[in-house]
Amino acid sequence: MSDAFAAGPAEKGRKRLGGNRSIGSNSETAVMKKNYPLRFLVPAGAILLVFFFVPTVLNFIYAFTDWSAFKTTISFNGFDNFMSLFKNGILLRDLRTTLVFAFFVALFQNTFGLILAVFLEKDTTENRIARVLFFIPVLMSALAVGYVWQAVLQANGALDQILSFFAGRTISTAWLGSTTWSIVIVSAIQGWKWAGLAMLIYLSGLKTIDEDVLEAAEIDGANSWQIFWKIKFPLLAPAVTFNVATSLLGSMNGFDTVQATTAGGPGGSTEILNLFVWRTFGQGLYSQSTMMSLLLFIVVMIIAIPLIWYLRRREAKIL
Amino acid sequence: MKLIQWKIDSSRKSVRAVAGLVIAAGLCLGTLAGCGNPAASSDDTDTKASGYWPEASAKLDSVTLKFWSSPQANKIPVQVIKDFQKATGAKVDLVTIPEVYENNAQTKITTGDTPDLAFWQPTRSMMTGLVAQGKLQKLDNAPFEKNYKKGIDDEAGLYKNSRYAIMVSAPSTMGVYYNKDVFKAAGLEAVPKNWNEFVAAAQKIKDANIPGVDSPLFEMGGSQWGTQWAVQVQLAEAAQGGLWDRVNQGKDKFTGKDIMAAITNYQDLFKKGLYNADAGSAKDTAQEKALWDGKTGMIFGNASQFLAISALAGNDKSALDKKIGYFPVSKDGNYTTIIPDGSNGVVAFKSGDSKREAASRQFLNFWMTDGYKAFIKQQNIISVLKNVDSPNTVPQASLDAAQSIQHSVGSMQLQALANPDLYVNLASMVNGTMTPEQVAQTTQDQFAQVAKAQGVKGF
Repeated sequence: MSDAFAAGPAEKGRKRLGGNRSIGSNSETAVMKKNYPLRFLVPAGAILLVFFFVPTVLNFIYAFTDWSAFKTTISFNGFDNFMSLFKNGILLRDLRTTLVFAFFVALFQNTFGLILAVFLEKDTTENRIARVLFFIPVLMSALAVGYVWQAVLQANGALDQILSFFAGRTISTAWLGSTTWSIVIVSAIQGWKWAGLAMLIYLSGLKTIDEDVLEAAEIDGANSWQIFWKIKFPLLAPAVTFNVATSLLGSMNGFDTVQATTAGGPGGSTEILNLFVWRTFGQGLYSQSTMMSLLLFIVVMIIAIPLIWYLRRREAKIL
Repeated sequence: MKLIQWKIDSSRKSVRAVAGLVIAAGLCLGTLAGCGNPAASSDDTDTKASGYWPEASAKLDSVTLKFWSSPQANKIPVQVIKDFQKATGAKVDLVTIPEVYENNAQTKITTGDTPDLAFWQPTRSMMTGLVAQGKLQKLDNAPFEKNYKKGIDDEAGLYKNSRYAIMVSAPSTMGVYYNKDVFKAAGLEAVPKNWNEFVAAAQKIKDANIPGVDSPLFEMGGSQWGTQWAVQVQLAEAAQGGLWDRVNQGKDKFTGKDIMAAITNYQDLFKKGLYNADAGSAKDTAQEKALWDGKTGMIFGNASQFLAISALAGNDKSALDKKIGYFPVSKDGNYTTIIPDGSNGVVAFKSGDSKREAASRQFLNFWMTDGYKAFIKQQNIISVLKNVDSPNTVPQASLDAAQSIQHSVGSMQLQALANPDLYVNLASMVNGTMTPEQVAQTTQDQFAQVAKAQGVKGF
């Protein structure tokens, strides 16, 4: 009733302003305008502008300047930073490391998350407690997580001591000492930290599946393996889209966990791009580090757009 | 109806306001090229003016100073802060900035967060950026300046002949700390007198197969920073001959003969199997413990590593003197390479508040006069002042390191115009992910970038 009441004068108002669309859509727009006037967007818009839009644009601009700790002025220098960065092999090595890291984080986070969600799907008390426990790492500081794992995995650390106890001899392996496998282990740590979040999203996906569908499958004689892979997993498509996209793209911006566990070592094998950006910033080369973060932004966009497009199309096909 | 009209108008207004903001931001960005660096100013302070250096213990009620420190150094000023607060009524807040201190502090300073005082590596390469941005107070003509011992403040703390950092302790030196028990067991009677003798001594320890000694040398590739000592000590004679001046002008390079040879010699030590098996991942703490426990014979070290070893020994002078010794080594002789570290120097920032700036200088004056005796006694370190005696509990290795400063050369940090991440690249070499040539090239590239940013000719 209040809608009808509000629509009356609004229609007239629109007409007076020269609106000539059909009355129905006119009144709808007017109601929307009345209930959600554009100025409600101003606070959020202002925050977005100041803290997101302006810094992003500045990131684009500063990348093409000679901004550094050593000069009192800033002037444009074209593609200078770009050229000097590409001549330096470290940038490409670190970009590759970043991609490897992001791939493994997405893999581990989603695998762990999905397994947890499937096992903890039923709403029993034990499962509720377990869900909370597995969600705790998500709330922990990434640095704390990194330092804890660093202590666990160092030579003669907690893991070695446990293994020594069972093996009956001293095992002294520096788990983060391999230039090949450290990146995988660090990715697993990051995946472990965020698995609780993936679990939560997969759980909510599982909860939206219609009981009738599952019951029908059961009556048709499908076993639980088939039910999962033929019905549940495809219907989790929206959750997969969200989880894969956020874990892959989010970990490309990783920094803290890697810094705390390996600081980019051994031998630079776990130096993801943001560590290099930070190292360069510390040298006072601000515009070079800005250029690097611009490059990272571009790489993320190049991956994000087709990935999300593909995952959405997959959803549309299934659902 | 009027109300509706007003709403539509006002929503248009907000659209216009947002558009206005976007345009304003765009205009501001567009004129950026003409803008100055927001973090910069120039300096013509007269440090000789009367009252520039306030009396050490003058009253300073209701003044609060912020002092930044790295996690390694944050215990050092506790005593002097306490004494200063008691003597003057001022308050000094000690703030620890997390690792890597220099990078994090630099980031904070660039974004506008500055302290009043801070520990800072008093070297040319590390002060350049702060001075160029006009962040630091000039500290020339301090009343205690004349009291410094020889060699302490000749090079350290200066930038283009102006003082920006006060030396509160003897600059750290790069040299070799060795375990006397291991030397005895290996039959080594005298300390090596040059690089070749050093390598021979390491080989002798290895060949002696002493029970309990895992490796003659020990590297901390996991912590990275110590990897540069072995390379830098070899450059002492070249540095004496103007190596870093040539590098600064682009006439010599990290890929040049001298530095390349030093890197390759360092790698040879690994090829000969003289280092610990986990050299690539071991941490500094493991290295210090290995020397103290006699699991290794020698480590390249600076003062901070010896401080950590002293802590392992419970700061027991007699135990330390019996077990740990120090000798400087260079390519052809026994030069010590000086590397003032982040706890040797203190800088004072321009805060814009003249009262706090003066109070900061007063704090430094207090530290180096009324407060100095208590400071070095509590820290158990060598005095850098002629008029204050060192405590008699300072370990012999520290005394030897300080003594060696009289026959010393400045390090890369002190003489080069930039401090590139040589140690990071060397750690990569220790881990086998870079060749010596790649270490040299990567370091040179970064050095050239910083030199170019500084506007140096030839880059």
